[in-house]
Amino acid sequence: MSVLALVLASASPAAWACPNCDTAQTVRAWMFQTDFWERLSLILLPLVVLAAIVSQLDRVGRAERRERS
Amino acid sequence: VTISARPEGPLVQAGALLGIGLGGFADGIVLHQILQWHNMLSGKVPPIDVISIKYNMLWDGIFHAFTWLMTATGLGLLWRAGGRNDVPWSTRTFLGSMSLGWGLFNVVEGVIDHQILGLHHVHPGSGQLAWDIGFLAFGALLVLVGGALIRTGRD
Repeated sequence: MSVLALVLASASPAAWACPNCDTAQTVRAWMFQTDFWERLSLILLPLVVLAAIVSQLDRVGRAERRERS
Repeated sequence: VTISARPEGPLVQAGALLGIGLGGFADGIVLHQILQWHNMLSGKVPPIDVISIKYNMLWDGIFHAFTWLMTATGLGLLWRAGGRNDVPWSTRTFLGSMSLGWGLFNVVEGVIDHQILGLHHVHPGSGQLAWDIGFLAFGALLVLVGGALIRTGRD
């Protein structure tokens, strides 16, 4: 009986509507209407710095001199 | 003609990128999701109700999508390094590089997001500076351990 109630509850509009419920719509509107690009660039700044550091890491390691004819 | 090369470089780059990505995932799983701390924009929008929690969660997801890209790029570089005969295949170098990457993630993210921009703190509230310093210290320790492993991996 409880399984049947669970199945019926999961099929109700309240359960499947949440991906597009009021709170989700409010959050998406807030996100894309308020300083989206500024916040995105601030959030990505550490990753850009990290990528720049990693690009220099090919200099890590023992310098090896080889003869090429 | 004499040329110079640093043969560990490609493996170190791959390992460091994987360390950054996996360190970002550890941060997201443990601090953001399990402990419910360290949310991305909690310094600007404190997560105090459903809307602000979902707003922070959305930005957390965007940040971690980019850490996923770092991980995928690291895997690609590792695959490429593995196919090269001139790159020494060393477990110590690889583990050291991953430790270095994770440590760099903590140090760079901690300095920029916590100290300079104030986007969020590790554990907001009283004592937040101590948590932030602990986060940085853990990162610095990982960098030191990683550097030591990379050095010994050459022997």
